[in-house]
Amino acid sequence: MNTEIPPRPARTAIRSGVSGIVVGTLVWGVLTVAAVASPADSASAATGSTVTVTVQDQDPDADDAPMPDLAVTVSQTEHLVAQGIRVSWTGGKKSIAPTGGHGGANFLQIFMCWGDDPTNPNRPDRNTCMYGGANTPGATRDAFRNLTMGEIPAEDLPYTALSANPFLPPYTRIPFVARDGSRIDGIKTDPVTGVRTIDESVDLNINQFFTSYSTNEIPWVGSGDDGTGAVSFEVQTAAQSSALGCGTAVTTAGVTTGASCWLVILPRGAFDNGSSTTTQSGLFIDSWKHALAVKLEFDPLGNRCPLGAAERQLAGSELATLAVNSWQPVVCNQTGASVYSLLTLPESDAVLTAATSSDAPLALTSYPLKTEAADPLQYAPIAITGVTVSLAIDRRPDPFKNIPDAYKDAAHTPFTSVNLTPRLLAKLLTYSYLSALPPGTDTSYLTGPHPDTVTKDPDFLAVNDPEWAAQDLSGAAIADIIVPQGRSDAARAVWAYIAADADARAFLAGTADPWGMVVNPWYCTNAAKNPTGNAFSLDRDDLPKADPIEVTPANLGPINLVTWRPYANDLSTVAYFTLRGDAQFIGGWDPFAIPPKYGKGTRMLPGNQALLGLTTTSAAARYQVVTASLRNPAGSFVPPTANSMLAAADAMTALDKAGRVLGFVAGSKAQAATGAYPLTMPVYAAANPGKLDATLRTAYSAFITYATSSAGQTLGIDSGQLPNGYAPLPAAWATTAKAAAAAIVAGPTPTPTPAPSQSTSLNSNNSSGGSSDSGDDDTSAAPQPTPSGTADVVLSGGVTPEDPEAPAGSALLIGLIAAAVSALIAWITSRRRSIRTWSRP
Amino acid sequence: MKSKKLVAIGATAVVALAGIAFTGAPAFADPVGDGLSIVGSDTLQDAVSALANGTTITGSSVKVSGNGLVLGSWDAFTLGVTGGVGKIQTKPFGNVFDRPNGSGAGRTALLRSIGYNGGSGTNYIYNGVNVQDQVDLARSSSRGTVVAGGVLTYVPFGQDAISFMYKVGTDGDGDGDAAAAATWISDLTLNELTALYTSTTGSPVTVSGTDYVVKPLGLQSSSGTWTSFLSKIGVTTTSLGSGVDTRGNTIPENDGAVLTPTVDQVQIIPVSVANYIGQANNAARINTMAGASVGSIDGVAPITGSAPNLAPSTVFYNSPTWGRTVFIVVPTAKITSGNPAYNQGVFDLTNPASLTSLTYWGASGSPATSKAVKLRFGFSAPQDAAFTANN
Repeated sequence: MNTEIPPRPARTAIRSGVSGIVVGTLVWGVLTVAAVASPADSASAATGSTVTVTVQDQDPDADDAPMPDLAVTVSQTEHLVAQGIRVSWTGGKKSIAPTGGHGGANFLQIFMCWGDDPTNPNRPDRNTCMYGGANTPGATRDAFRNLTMGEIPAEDLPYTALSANPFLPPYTRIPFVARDGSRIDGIKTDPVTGVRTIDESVDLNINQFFTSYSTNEIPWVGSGDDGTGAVSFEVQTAAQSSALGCGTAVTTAGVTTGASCWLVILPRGAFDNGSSTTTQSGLFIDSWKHALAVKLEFDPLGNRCPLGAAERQLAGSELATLAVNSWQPVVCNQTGASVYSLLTLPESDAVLTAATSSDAPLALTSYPLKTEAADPLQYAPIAITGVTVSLAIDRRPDPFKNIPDAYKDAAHTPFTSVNLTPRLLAKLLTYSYLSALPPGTDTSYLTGPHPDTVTKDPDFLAVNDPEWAAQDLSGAAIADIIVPQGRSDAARAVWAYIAADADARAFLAGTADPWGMVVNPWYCTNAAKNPTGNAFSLDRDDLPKADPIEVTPANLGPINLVTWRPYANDLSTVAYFTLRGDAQFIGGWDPFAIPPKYGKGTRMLPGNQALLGLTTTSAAARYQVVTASLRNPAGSFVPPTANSMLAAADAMTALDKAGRVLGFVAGSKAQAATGAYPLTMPVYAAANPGKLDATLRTAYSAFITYATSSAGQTLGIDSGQLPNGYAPLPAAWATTAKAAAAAIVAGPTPTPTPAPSQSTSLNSNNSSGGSSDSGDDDTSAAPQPTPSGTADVVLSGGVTPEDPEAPAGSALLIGLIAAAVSALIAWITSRRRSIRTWSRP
Repeated sequence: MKSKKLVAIGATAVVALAGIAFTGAPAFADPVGDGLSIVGSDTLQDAVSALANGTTITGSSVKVSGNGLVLGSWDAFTLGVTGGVGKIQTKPFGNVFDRPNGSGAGRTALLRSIGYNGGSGTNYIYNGVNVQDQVDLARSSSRGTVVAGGVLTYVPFGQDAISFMYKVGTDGDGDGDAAAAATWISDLTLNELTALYTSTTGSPVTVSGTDYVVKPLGLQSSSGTWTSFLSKIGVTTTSLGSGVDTRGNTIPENDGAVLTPTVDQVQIIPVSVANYIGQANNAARINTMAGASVGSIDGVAPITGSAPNLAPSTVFYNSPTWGRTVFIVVPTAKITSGNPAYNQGVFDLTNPASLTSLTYWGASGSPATSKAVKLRFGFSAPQDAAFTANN
């Protein structure tokens, strides 16, 4: 699969699974490293609990079901936490979208329930379902019936009553019962006479247990014209919904498990429950009897760390968050260990603090400290992970083109793969597509042809499956990419990936691509072409919205680039947005708000989604969203899997002079790594042993020791394991980490000396363990598995030196610490150079 | 409650006032009586006006009234007059307030008329003017959110459908491809409508094999027909293509005169099929539909027959995609017997069991029923049930 020829988008899970195996085999041939855990495709760890249910098996009245051939597969049903799961199906019917008046036709509703049906433990009890929060026609707990009282089915009758007004038909309201037994009823029954009346003080759809803002129910998800579809579903635990209480710790015979719940997939036809359209509740018996249900088993919730345990801070990389969360409940119970809480902040700040402050948090970083003096930090690799582009793009075949029927039949089904090159990523990040800019203003400063969206760019079509050319996709969210605000190593890695590619570099410098498209000049790296008069630097760790475009529609407020395409809070949020199809669209103008403002746009319904986002491989795996394959320096399009990240790790070279921090940067080694995922990033735990007291040194060392142990590096969904979206550390890396942990425990040492040149490959490192031949003192500088032998970062295009861009807060910090004189000098020196760079004509 | 005598005096007064205030407008565009007032959706305004003012379109005289009270139906805006909104006065000596120009505005005016303020306190102010007791009913082509014991009751008025109408411009080079363009545009698929309304100025949709370019038009943003059309074709206001012309957010609903295709151009715009039929059958007071045709969607024609005997296609009207039930909205208290606010006139006007109420769809086939009039105006039997809501 890893050839110059772009792979056809994988249409089925089986197909992508096969490609993963092929990659795995290739990598296995190169890697003689015995990884800590067996290398596995990132999606495979959860497949053990995949469940498929069918109408024919579950529905005794299958022949009358809205979709008799429906078969639904749920990607994960065990060890669930607050996460996404993928629900996919075949045998549905072409759907009609909901409108203001009804819920649509031939669609699925997906939601969770907690209780078993008292009459049939193999089915959920409809009174325990979190349903109705959407509060749209066809997705409520209650409705006026299109039936007379005498026509109401017996099952619904206890929940049905008449109004005082004779014009109104009978009203059925399904109560909700929470796990703790509290309940809301919409119908009151007189205990003496048995007369039922409507309790008008109760709103079953907006209640104390859930509302449209908190519910995870999917009120409508459609099938493509071929009757298939897929959607990511947000699983909620008791932390998100106490009424459902899924995952609440239950101890039976000394074993603690999480309380189970149900996932319900409810097929709805064109009409039901006596109505001519889907205006009625899916909980009414005529619909409910056709519900499919899958039992969901949860990991127990709650703090499983010893009460009163010491708390230690980790600071820095968001990339490590999900791994730390997984390790936490295990590592905190180990002797000498503590509770570790991770504060996400720019990695460059975290390492600076770790290097210069006493008893600083353990820094988690992907890049080394920027200093011209000796780096006092010890770096222990704890995770191999990456940054990825998540996508939710549903097919919309162009109706005016003569295209194959197979393409037409797949309308509204999601694409499951896409190929991106560094230049395409550059176009997306520089707002060079027209729809990424607010409409209604002069965009003549964009010279040459500018497609509306990336999917209409011939550059994109040249590297993707021909089916993309048959689509008529539109919208701002596929003209740019949703990015987080602030600074991060992830952003730095993305720009480095772009800067390392000659085509992308030329494009950013203002050279037209082969189809004539020119970069948005506000992002031009050629100062002469940039309206600011300054070159846009690629040596940066933020993702700026540099185009100052602003448009003010008549009688409305101004719209600039940030209003039009807002930032997300962090990388993980972007994966969640992708799961929900929330493209962060601008909403309507609210003149009554104080001050007047634009509201938030609604999310796109499954079947009509089109968005791209920048996120972490681990968040993408948690929310089970589709990710893009990126072209690596070897010219292959590679998706982020454990294997492809391991292949990248194998080809990493040193980022610092001492050769202690590695990264996947373009060079001869990277160009040979055909299976490498190019945005793979290691995460290092970094501490300065000279500035930590013994307690902290022990605590940090214990964390690193567990994180890099075989238990902590085994891919899996159990607590203490390595979550999906990470690759297990190769043995040589783990050895390096152990040495660094030992160095941290050992405490202050003389200034570390650079590691000697080493030409060993990972293969030889593996056999040697990577430490015995270094000849260096283990406690002064932990040996690295794959030092490149040169301290220079070899980017094929020659990127400018790393720019420290230390923030003012850090400067103050340094000033306060008299011991850090050398660091201060280094900072001033580099700062001066930085200023020169910016003032370059 | 007012005595009948007072009402009769008021009626004279309002006729006089109307004569002075609205000399520029079509003589019968606004009500000429006193009694009960109804405002809101323009989709229903022609049929409700005819029923309120009396009509012989079915061959029999049909005029609704509420226990002796005349119903005054106030248009959303005046057909064929751009920006014909202005202000209205619905009751003798009542305040003059902004004319509610659509379903949502009509319901808001009705809610303010009864002082409803989201369940807390009372608020009679509509667009800065106290409208207490000025509005008795509302016409609505959209639904509120169903809630038990809602202060508004929605009683079905009939079934409408949404489609698009079009006009084909003159043939620039005279090669006779206007007919081909007309045939092409007369039947579109849902996906084609989506593509048309996401097309950009840079890449407009052309009619293949002809010189014709399609220009999609958009309605003013508060239009219920516009928002439901967009949701049906899966387009949001954000994803709307730059090729869609809304003429600065000024295009009124159901006005065929806004279609002004240039040479080698086809213009299309969403339309209420019932309203189109009502105008094309000359049942409505103004027919703006000359030269405008209603298109089929996915091969299903919304209309059968030919003018002046156009009739709804049941298949199209009852389809979940394109059909919609439209409503008469009334304060629940005014039709709940025993309630202090109970009003026999409002009850009679909205009683589905009465042959001459606004909401009758019973078994009678007599031309003297309101049902017969509504059929002539392009409505068919409603598919949704009555319900209550707070919005």
